[in-house]
Amino acid sequence: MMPFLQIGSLNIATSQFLTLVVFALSWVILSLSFRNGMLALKHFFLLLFVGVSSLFGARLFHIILEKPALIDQGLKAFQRLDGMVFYGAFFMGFLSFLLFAKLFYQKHQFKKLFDIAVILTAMSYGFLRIACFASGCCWGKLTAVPWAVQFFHPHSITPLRGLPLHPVQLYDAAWGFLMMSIMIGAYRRMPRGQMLALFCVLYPVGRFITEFYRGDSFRGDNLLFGLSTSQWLSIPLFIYGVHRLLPTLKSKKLVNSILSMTSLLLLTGCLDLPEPPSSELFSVYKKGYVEEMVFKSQDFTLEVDGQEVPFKKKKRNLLFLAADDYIQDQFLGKIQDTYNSEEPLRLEDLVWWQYAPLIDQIYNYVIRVPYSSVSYGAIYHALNTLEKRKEPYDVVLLTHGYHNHISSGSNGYLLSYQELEVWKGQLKHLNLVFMQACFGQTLVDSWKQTGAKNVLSYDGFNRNFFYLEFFLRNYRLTPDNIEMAYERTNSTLPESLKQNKLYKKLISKGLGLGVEEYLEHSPNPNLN
Amino acid sequence: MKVDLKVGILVLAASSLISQYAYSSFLTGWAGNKSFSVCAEEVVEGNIMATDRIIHEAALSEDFKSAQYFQQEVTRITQISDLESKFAEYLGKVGVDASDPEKLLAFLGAKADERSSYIQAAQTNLQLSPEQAEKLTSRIVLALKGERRDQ
Repeated sequence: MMPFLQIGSLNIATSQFLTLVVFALSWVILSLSFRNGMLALKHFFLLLFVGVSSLFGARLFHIILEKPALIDQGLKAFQRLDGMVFYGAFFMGFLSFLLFAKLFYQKHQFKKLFDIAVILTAMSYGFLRIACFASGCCWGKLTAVPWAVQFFHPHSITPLRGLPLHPVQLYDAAWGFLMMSIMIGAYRRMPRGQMLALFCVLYPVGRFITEFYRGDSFRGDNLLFGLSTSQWLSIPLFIYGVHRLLPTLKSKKLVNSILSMTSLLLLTGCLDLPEPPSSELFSVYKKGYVEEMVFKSQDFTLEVDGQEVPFKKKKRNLLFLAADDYIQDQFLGKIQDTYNSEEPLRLEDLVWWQYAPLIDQIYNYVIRVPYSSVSYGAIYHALNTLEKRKEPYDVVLLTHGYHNHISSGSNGYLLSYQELEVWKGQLKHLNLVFMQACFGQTLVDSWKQTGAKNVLSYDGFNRNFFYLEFFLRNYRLTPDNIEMAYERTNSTLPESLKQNKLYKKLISKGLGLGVEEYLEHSPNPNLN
Repeated sequence: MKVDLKVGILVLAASSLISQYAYSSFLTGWAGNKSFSVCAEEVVEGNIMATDRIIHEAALSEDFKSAQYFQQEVTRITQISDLESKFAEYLGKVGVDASDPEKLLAFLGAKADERSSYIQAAQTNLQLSPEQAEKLTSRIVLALKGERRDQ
C-alpha cells in the first residue's frame, strides 16, 4: 500500500519505521511501568536482544516451514527479510526474553516484566501487521466485499497487484490491538505471570479465523484437513493457554469473591437492608464510649426443622464489636441517602441492625462498641464491665487479623497476644469468643489462658463471612452446648446457604461461584 | 431504591476493591495460583512509606552509625521509586518474601520469641550486630503493623 515513507529527505521502509515505533513505544512503556531510571538501560538491551532474536526466529520458521529450498543458502538466507512467520518470532522472542530476564533482572521483577512484555507483544503484533499491510505482504484472498483493498505500488510484495483483496493484515492488526486492550484490562485483575496464558488463548483464536482469509497460499494453506500451518500451530498454543488459564480463572473467581466479600465482611446479610432495631427490642442505658443495652425479649416460639418449639432465653451477655476501616467511603453516601439519616451511618451500624433481632433471642445484656470507639480501651472497658456482672458472656469480634493480632485495618491493631496475657486467668465468665479475623487461630491459646472456655476462629485467611449468622441461629437453641451448635451449623451450612435466597444470589450471581465452590474455598472456623 | 442499593453496594464493593487491589496487589501476593487475601492488604497498605521513614531514621541514629554496609543499603533502597521493588527489598533484608501474603503476615504478627529467623536474616543481609538486627526488625514490624489502637 505504502511500502516506503518519505520523512523529510529520509526515505525509509514503512516496516522499518513501524518497527522503530514499536521499539520506542515498548521502551517507554517498560520504563514507565517500572518507574526506575536505573532499569531503563536494561530494558533497552532487553528489547534489542528480544527484537533481534524474534527477527531471527521469524525468518527461521519461514525458511523451515515455507521455503525449505532456502536451507541450502545457510546463513545467507537470513540476510533477507522478505518472509517472516509470526510464530517463529513469538517462540524465539519468548526464549530470548526468558534468557535475558533470568540473567539480568531480579527475581521479584520477573513476573511483572513478563506480563508487560506479553502485552507489548500484542501491541507489536498490531503495529507490525500494519507494516505488512503497507508492504503488501501477508495478503488476503480475492474478494468482492465492499472494503476490499487493491495494492498498486510497484514495490508491494503481493503478486496480486491491482486485484481486490481482503485486507487481512488489518484484520490481524485490529485483533492485535484488541488483544492488547483485553490484556491491559486483565492486567490488574490477574495473577502476575499469567498474561502469557491469556495471550495463548486470545492470539490463536484470531489467527485461526483470519487464516481463512489469507491469500498467500505458498505458506502451506492446506497442511492437513484443509487447515494451514499457522492454524495447526494455533491449536496446541490454545490448549496450552486454556490449560494455564483455567486454574487462574478459578482463582480469579475466588479473588472476585474475596474482594467482594471483603466489603461484605461487615455486610453479612446487610444487602437485605436491615431496618434499625425497634426501640421495643432493647433499652440503651449508656451511650457514648460504648453502648450498653438490655434486651427485653424473654420467650419465643421458634420454628425448628419445620416444628414450632417454645424457647426460653437464658441469662447471657455479649460484647459485640465490628470494625473495618476500609469499607466506608464508597458506601457512605448511599447509606445516608437510603436511610435518610442525618447522623453518619456506617456499615458496621447496618451489621448491628442485622444481628440485633438474632442477638435479642440469645442475650440479655449487650455491650456494643460503635465504630467511633473501636479501640483496645473499649474492649478493656467492656470485658471489665462484663466480668463484674458475674454472668456468662460471649465476645463477637468482626474484624481483620493476622498472626497473634486482630485489627480493624491499617490504623494499628486492636488486640494481640500481649494484651491477652494481661488478662491471664481473669476472664472467669467468658464462655465463647468468635473471631472473624484471618489467622484468629493464632490467638486461641492466648484467649484460653484468659479463661475463655470456647473459641471459634479461622486457621488461615478467612473467607467464610456468612458463618456467624447460621451459627447464632443454632446457638440460640443450645446455648449450653456449643459443640452441638457448632456441629449442627457445619452440617447444615451448605443447605442453609442454598436456601437463603440473598446469600445464594450473592454467591452465584454476584461472585460467580456455586455454593459448593464457595464453601470449598471458605473453610469453617475451628472450635477450640 | 432497595434494589438499587443492593446492586450499587455489590458493584461498588467489587469495583473499588479491585482498583485497590491494583495498587496493593504486591502486598498481598499473587504468587502463581496462590489465592489472594484481603487481610494482608488491609493491614499493610499505607505503611510502606512509614517503613521507609523508620528505616531511614534508624540509619541516621547513633545505634546504627557504625553499620557502614547497612547505611549504604538504606541509601540505595530509599532511592528506589518503585514501591513494589522498595517493599520487596526491605522485606527481603529480614528474610521475608513480600510476595507471599502468609509469610508477610507471619512476620508482622510474630511474637517476640518467634523473630529469631528474621533477626538472623537482617544480621546476614545487612552486616549488623545481633542487637542492631533485633532493633531494626522490631522497628520494621512496628512501622508496618502500627501501634495499638487505643483511646
